[in-house]
Amino acid sequence: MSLPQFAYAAPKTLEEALALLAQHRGDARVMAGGTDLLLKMERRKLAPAVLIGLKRIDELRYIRFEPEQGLFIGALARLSDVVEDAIIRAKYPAIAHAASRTATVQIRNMGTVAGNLCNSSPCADNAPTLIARGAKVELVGAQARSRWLDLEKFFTGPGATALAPDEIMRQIHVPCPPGGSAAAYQNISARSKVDISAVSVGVHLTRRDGKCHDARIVLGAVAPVPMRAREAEALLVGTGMDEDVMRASGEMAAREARPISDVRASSEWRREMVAVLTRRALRQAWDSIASAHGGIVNR
Amino acid sequence: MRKPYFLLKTPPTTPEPAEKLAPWAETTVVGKPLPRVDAYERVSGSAVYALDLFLPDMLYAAILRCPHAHAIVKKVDTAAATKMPGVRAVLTDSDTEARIPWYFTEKGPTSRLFDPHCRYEGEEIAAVAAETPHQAADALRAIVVEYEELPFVVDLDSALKPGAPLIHEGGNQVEGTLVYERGDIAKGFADAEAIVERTFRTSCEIHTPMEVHGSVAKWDGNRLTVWDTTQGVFQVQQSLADALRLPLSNVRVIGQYMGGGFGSKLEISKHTVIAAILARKTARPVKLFISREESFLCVGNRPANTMSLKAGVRKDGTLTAMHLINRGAVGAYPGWAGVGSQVADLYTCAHVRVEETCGHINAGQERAFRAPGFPQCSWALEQVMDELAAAIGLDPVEFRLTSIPVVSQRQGGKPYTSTGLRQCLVEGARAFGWDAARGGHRRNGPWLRGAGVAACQWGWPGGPPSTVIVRYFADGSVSLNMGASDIGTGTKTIMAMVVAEELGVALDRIQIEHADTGTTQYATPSGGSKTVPSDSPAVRAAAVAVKRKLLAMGAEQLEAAEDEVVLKAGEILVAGSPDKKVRLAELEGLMNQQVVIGVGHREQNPLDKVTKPFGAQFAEVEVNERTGEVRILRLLGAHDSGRVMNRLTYQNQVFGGMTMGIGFGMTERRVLDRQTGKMVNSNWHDYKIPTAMDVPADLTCVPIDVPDNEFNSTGTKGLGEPATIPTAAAIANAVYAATGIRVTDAPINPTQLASLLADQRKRG
Repeated sequence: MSLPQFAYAAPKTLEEALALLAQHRGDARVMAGGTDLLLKMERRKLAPAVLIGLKRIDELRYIRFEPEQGLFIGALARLSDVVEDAIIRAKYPAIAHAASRTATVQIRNMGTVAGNLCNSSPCADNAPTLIARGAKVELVGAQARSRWLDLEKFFTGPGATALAPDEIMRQIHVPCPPGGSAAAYQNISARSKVDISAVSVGVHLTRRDGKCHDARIVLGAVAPVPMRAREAEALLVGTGMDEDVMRASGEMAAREARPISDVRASSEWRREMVAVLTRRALRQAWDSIASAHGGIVNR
Repeated sequence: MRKPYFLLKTPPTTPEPAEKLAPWAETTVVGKPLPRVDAYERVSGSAVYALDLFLPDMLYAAILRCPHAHAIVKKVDTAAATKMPGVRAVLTDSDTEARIPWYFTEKGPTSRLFDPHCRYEGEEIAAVAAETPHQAADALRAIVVEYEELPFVVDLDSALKPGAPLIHEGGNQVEGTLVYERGDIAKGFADAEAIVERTFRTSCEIHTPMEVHGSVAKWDGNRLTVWDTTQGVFQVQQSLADALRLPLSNVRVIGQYMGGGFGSKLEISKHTVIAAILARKTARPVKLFISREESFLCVGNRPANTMSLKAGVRKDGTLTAMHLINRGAVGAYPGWAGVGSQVADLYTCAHVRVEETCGHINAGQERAFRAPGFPQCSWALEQVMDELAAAIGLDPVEFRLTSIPVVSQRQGGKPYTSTGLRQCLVEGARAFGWDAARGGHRRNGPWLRGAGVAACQWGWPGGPPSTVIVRYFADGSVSLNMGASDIGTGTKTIMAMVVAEELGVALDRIQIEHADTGTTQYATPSGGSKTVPSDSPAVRAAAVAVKRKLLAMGAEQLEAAEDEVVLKAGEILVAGSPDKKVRLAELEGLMNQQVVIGVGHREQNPLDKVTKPFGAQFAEVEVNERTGEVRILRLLGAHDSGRVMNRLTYQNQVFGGMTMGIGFGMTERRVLDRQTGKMVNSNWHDYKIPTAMDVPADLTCVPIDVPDNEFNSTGTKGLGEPATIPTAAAIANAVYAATGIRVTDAPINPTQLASLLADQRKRG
């Protein structure tokens, strides 16, 4: 299939990009890797008159860690950059893992983490772990207007986000992992080893005095947007995280999920997998805290 | 209608060779694991595929397709499209030259090139030729079509019910129910000590070759040349000549490099004729390639089947009766979705009845797909064999060994020229470590492990006609001229090895001209796993004819009798006289003529015998009892395909066949939306073929290398199709061994398996 006709702009600064976006208000789209956007255009789901390519804006191409503040992932950081980044692998391994579970090598070499979020697919692989880790995103508009939003509040529906038509996601911020905490990501497909996730789960746990102090469970692909399983989280806090508790939490998460049946999987199977993957992710995260000797090491 | 190769009852013949060639006693080239002779061209990009062809002044064409499952085209308005930039021609049903009959039954055509009655999503409505592909695509969008949408039906059960929307006036059932019967199944079931009865379903599978379908058409006066993505240039030549009312000699079809077809390129497709008409209309060469998405709709598929199989057995392992009732959906146009051959022929059984009913649905027409009908049959038959073995307490391999026929029961009890089914099972089981793999259930956390086996037979042996020319030049280099296509299977390499075997010429001194109706001799399409068994004997005969002439020249020069001389290492020697010899480079006769030509024909198959390839495959899997995920740990294929011509291409075929079998068994499924009648996964993103991640690293090929010398002069039988027949069934049997669950519906996806596992837990 061929793309519809469009004009292509390649600004070199964020400011220029924002000006172009304002100028073509409503009739322009911003493109980073293009791995989702161009497919939508081929299928005529989108036909913007202008594409604003961000690739020449070097100021957006970074992954930075600041010991006091945490991690900053620029809008042009590719999925493969995140997979390979030494600091992310050391301090945020679940975030690197989620990026590595996104699509295929070729797509990871083109697509960006920010793009994966802005595409707002309910099954975006990078959303659950980032939400579980308390990530925020910075959205900038014309005249350098900037606002920070909890990632959890960024998604408003399938393909829809809190981004205003004149805004661009500049970066993603992930706070420093609290002491004695760990995150984990689990995903599964019902069709093949190379597929979009039919179900995904990201969790974040903090341990204090041998007990679960804080828990966040985020489910992907089982609701219109990535969703917190708050009742499942509540079951964990204050417990010693034994097998029964984790299983009960997984089953609670399955009850909270609102999956649909589609070409990728049935709703029944998705619900069942929420239970399995939640338990797996909780086990993995808790074990990795334990193996780091009571949470001295950040993982 | 020209029936596809596998329905032809009496294939045409070529002249019998002057001499019957004795089998090779030993070989020096044939059988070796040699890389492809065209490997460099293929991997370096210098091979010119049809898509790579750019002719001066070439236009690009595209086809407008019906977006509805069932509709009547009331009006096609091309006024705006015709005026668009770069548009040079628009073709619709209003053009009389496009009124070409299409989709034939024995009674005549059922449709035409741009038939206003569109019976599936993807039917051709109009075509555009323009200066660029984008202009052509834009012009398609400017064509305004008025449709009257009709009720549709996309599943066979509904299509065959009274009151279903009619796809053809005569009804949705294709002809009558075809019945094969021998013995008396009632008697057979009465004799049985155990009976198994089960219904199996397979999904519609799409060929999706790497290379999409397309053609480049160019006219010189009233002569047409077409570069085509085809498995058979002569098949396309004949169809084009028919459609355009041209003499065969005016139509040249070239298809020298091919990126896979699996049967979907065995016959002509509409786009080829459309390209030819647009090229004539514009007096410009026209390139018309369909898109990946179109290729899911309109160039064939393996039909979905529903198979009820009942089988009876005695405790000693004797199969007493088998009864198969099969229903298959051929799509919107004439076709065949039969599967019964192996039920009637693979195992010894006195009482067999097969009933096959085909019907129309509003979807693209089926086409031959790598062993048409056989993987479906295997899915049912081999799982029932597994259950029967369990019912009488026999090991599945042992049980199959009790029922190995030496004659074809389906073809009048004629003996097989060779059958290696026993060796496939025995040697395959040994190499696989079958007994150890079957030893008890093994559990690793939530993962359950099991092993399974399935056997197979393939139904089409190959044979004449085939004519080949070998030219031996004065410097000792050789030209091999044959009509057969190399569809990616290594045909050229194997044929060159045959020439090298007979004439002692190095492979890099052999040039191959092939798959060009203008310059090469007639060959049947490369399909049916029959290219090597059909054409390699003709190649051998041509090479031997050259050798005879060279030997005659040598005998004359050396003043010896013709039966005293031999060809060895580039020299002609007189037996018993070490001094009397002449190098071929100094052969006076060759110097005088500059070239020696040998013509070879494929000999007739033996009339009183039947030839079939056989095989057995073994699988070991792990199943996650909670998620339903299946890990295929290893696969082994043991195949009897006669002589192994090239150990490397042989292994490629077996691994490729098993990979495709994984797709059929585990991931591939055309999904038609019952609400809209449209395919919802017509792309490689949502239609899942196996990737390297889905195929186990542990693949083993065990060749049963027994030349079938009664069948032909190279001792070869087919391999490409048998290699994919039993894979899915072997995996299903392994899943059963792991879980105790019989998965009757292919593909075995985690959704289905998890649900079956949950049911099993509920039952306790």
